[in-house]
Amino acid sequence: MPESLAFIGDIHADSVRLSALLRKIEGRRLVFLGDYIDHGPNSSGVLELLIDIGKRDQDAVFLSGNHEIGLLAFLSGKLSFLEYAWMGGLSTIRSYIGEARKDVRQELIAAVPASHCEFLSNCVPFFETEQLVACHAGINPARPESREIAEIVLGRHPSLFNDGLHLDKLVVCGHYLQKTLTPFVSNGVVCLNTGCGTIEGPATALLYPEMTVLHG
Amino acid sequence: MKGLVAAVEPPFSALFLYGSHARGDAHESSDVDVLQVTPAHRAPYSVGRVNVTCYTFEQLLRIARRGGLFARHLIEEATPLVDPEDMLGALKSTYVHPLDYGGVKKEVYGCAPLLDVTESEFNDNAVGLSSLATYLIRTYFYATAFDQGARSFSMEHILELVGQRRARLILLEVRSQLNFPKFRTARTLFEEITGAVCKRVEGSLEAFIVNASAQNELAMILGLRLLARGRPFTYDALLDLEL
Repeated sequence: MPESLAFIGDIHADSVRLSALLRKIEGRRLVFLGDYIDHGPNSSGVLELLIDIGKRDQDAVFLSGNHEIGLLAFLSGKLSFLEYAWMGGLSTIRSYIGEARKDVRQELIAAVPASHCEFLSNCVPFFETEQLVACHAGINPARPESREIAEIVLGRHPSLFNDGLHLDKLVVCGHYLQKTLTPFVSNGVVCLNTGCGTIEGPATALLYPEMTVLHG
Repeated sequence: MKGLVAAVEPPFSALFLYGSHARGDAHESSDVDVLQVTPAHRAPYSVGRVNVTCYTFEQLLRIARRGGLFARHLIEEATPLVDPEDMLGALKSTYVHPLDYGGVKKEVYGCAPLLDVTESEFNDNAVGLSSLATYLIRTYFYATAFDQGARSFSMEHILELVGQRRARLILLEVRSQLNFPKFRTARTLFEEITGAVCKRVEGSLEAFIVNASAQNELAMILGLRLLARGRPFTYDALLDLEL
């Protein structure tokens, strides 16, 4: 019998919906699919919540999303202010520094707690069992064996949503905004980015192996 | 029309002609304004005298729901060049007429710090700052005029209505001459008509953008565009990183 899991889709800084969703989940291993920050109002609050969960529940899995990598890249100077802003990072910057004065990057470096940087750095690119693989952007159907970050965290694979796609394992991902505010669920692919923190959609979880959907 | 479509850099899901060429009151010196509906965010660009503004369809719908001036401009005057999915029809049925354009004027007022630049900063981005000043002044005039019952987006008609015929020359010269004195004249006009002071309290444009993003989306977007200086900037930057 496969392990009982709860996959949690993109949160994008909406700590209220995340808390509401988590209250509905009990007795399962939690697998968060990434994109915890940016766009929404409370990036720092969401990371606090997740860090707290990680302390209480050693089995919880925190996957990396492109936005987590984006914040780390901005902090280390690999991504410009403009690029990070365009990803939706302005609200994250505000959630840490409140009001900006001059050197935004330096002010952010000074304001982000070490525990948050550590959490972001420790996020992993994928979670895999015999039956499924979970990663933020899903696998590339043309290279299903690849676990490269550029593909499974930062990539875009719209063909995951094609009819008749056959993959050896169930793919559980976020990343691709479902404008209907409901998850995409097919035989081979589940996508849980239902617009939380971006278009006022809910935070969404998938209970596995039951394949039940919960919203918060 | 075919030449216009060929001038546009794909991809696009629809193209519209708007402005004086769509209204039929263009002069010899008038630029050609084209709206390109793009699948993702993209910076505006020019090909010769054709100015191409890029929006995603979702952005346009959002502007229409908020009763924005640009959406009104399109639904009243745009001519489809390519529109197989009838996006113009969708915009028309989505548009919500606001009670007044006070909200637009407030947003434009909040953009004043973007014009607080020294001569050397201006020279660094003369095209961006000149077109920004023109855009803000024109938008403020549009908002004022439509609150007074304007019927057309023709700038001559608008200036007549708001009693600012002298502004026509200022608007023309700031964009054609691209020098600091003309920019300063336009900035003074902006301050006179809006009552705003073009003074930025933050020590950098980036810091202003962060603070503006909390309450003034227009100031945030225009600030990012100034910073981009016409360069396209996309999410793909992350893929260039060494991971």
